[in-house]
Amino acid sequence: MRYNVGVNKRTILFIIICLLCLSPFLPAQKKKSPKDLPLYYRKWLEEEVVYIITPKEKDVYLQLETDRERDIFVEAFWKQRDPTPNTPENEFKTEHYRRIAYANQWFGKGGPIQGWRTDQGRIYILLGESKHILKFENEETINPVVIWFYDGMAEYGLPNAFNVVFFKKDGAGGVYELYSPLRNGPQQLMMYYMGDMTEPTQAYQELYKLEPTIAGISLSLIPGEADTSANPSMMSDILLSQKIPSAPFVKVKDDYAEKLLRYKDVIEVEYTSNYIDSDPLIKVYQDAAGLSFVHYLIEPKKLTFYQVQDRFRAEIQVNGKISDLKGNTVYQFERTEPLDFDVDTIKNIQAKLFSYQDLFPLIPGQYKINILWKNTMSREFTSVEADLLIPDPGAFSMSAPVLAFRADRNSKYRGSNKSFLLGNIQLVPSARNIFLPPTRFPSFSSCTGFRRTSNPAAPWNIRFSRKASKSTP
Amino acid sequence: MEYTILKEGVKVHSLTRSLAEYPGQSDFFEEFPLAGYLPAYYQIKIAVLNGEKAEKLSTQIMFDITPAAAIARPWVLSRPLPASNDPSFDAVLGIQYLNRNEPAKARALLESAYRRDPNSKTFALDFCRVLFAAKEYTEVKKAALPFMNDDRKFDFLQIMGETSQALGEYAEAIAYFKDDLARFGTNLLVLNAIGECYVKIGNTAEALVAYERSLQLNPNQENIKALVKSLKEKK
Repeated sequence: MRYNVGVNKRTILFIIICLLCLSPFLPAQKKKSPKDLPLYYRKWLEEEVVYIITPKEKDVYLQLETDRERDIFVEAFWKQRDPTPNTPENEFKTEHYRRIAYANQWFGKGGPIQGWRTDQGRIYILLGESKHILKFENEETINPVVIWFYDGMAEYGLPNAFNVVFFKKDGAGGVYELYSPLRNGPQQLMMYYMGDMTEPTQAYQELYKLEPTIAGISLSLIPGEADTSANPSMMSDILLSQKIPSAPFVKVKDDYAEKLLRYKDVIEVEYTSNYIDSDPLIKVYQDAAGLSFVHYLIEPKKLTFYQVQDRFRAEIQVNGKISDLKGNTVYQFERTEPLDFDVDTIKNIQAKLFSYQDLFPLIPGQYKINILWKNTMSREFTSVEADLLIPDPGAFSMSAPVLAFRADRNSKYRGSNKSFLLGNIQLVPSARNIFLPPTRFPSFSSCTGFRRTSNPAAPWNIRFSRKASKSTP
Repeated sequence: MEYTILKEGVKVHSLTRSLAEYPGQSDFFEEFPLAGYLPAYYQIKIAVLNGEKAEKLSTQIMFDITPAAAIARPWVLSRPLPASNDPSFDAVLGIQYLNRNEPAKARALLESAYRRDPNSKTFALDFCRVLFAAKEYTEVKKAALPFMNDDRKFDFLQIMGETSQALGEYAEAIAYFKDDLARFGTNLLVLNAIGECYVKIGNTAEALVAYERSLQLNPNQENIKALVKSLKEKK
């Protein structure tokens, strides 16, 4: 690995290509209306994934310009949801399309709208098969009611157990509608209720006499919810209007969509649907000579190796671009790191996180940094974007502290430059700042502009107290 | 230096240490034991206080004490770089100043890198760039010359062509540019430069060959089209 300081012919060509390509790094693309999309892509958005696409994903999808970009997006969309990405089948996608087919087959039959558009179809696509179903479809005095009971979905931000209730307002005719204790109330579940339609308590008591089971869910969909015998449950309404619609988003990290939009013109097509999430850390420190270095680390969520006979290989390529606030490129660099391990090494590292760390010097100023990290063998990528401030060597400033898992106080690399080697101390930083007691965590911060002697040019003189350290537990 | 650890805004630990106790002039390293800390989000604030205990600089960061039984530690890939006095850093900083249009600072740093390692093709090429930008064409040739006798010359062909052209040495420039094309393939800028050189020495036929090849690559060059038209009329 070496710095890309020379500007040979290929470098110039690279710079030109990058300037052409990277210039649209950030500007917002023109957003389309769904009706402007080709029919196939509009159907995908407005029918096939309408309930599960996150607002951010939808926003990005509508900014894509070509069908090829949309195809790549769709591929990435499903990849992000694949529970077993290393197998050929995407179980999430298979299950999703099964749900749509089921909804179209069984819901809204004989009605004017397709099954996936009905309330039952929507809930079925969002939540899947319920644990059990209760049907009250032939009661003489009660409108047809169907109760779906779900449990074990807390990981999606839902209550441990809850019911979803559908009813037909107009007796046997019409289609099932979603029942809300707050918006509908028990009075709408009865065919011949003559009481006050705005008074749920009286209606509840009336319904209880007719069918206690239905009455039990008419004020709250959440079993065990605190006393709701008098008033309809607000929580149930929040469950229906907010929690269930957003349940498919809970496990989706949709940052990939933004990255796809940002880098679609910069990276090769085969990478674009393979965004992997990562944790970055970027810190600026001055060395003893006053030279500022940008220390950075990228911890991708995974590092894929390819087996070639008894060797395991990956190749990391990092492209960095530092721009001033007007968008002019100030510095670009490229690093390539081939990795080639035997089976014992792979066994040793495969359960661990991978942390790619590097540093480079940078002249004072305010910048934006973009780092594109690629595994050229698996065609996976991640990226980091951040603002950078490099203070003048004489300016009074303080760096943000870096918190670490471990500190080697007498690094063998002292005297050279190495990422997060600060003075003689080699830190192993925590990208997420998560620690486990009872370990110790090292903290390192750095100030610039200090002088040990009284400096008349400084805003204040540093005076050194000679008293002992004072620690307050 | 005052270190304060807060949990939900409430101070749970603090440490004050005199700057004199730190060995470095500007680096402050501390270790905090986490025994007794309950799982929660915390904040560490680090402040520089003056003699009157007034805060002059401060920084802070959040951290999390996890209830998890273990945290996966990473394996780290990190290559050491040379010490800060290595000429490669001068070259990096020089390029940054050049890109930021600060030629004087760029010149000093790139010249420093070149002088300290005159055999480095990379440093020489960077130095040639800054010299060319400063129109010090003779100096460009002087810096590039040692590299023109072996395979390292290929990277200097274009800048030598441009320098020769700037010095009015058109025949020499054409030779460099043609070598460059032979080595790296067709290039719009080089073809146009060859065309310009041929025009200067009055070889309209060869100028037209170069310009027409350039237009084949990119037909949307209105200025070149006009030039071709005018050359054909003169012919």
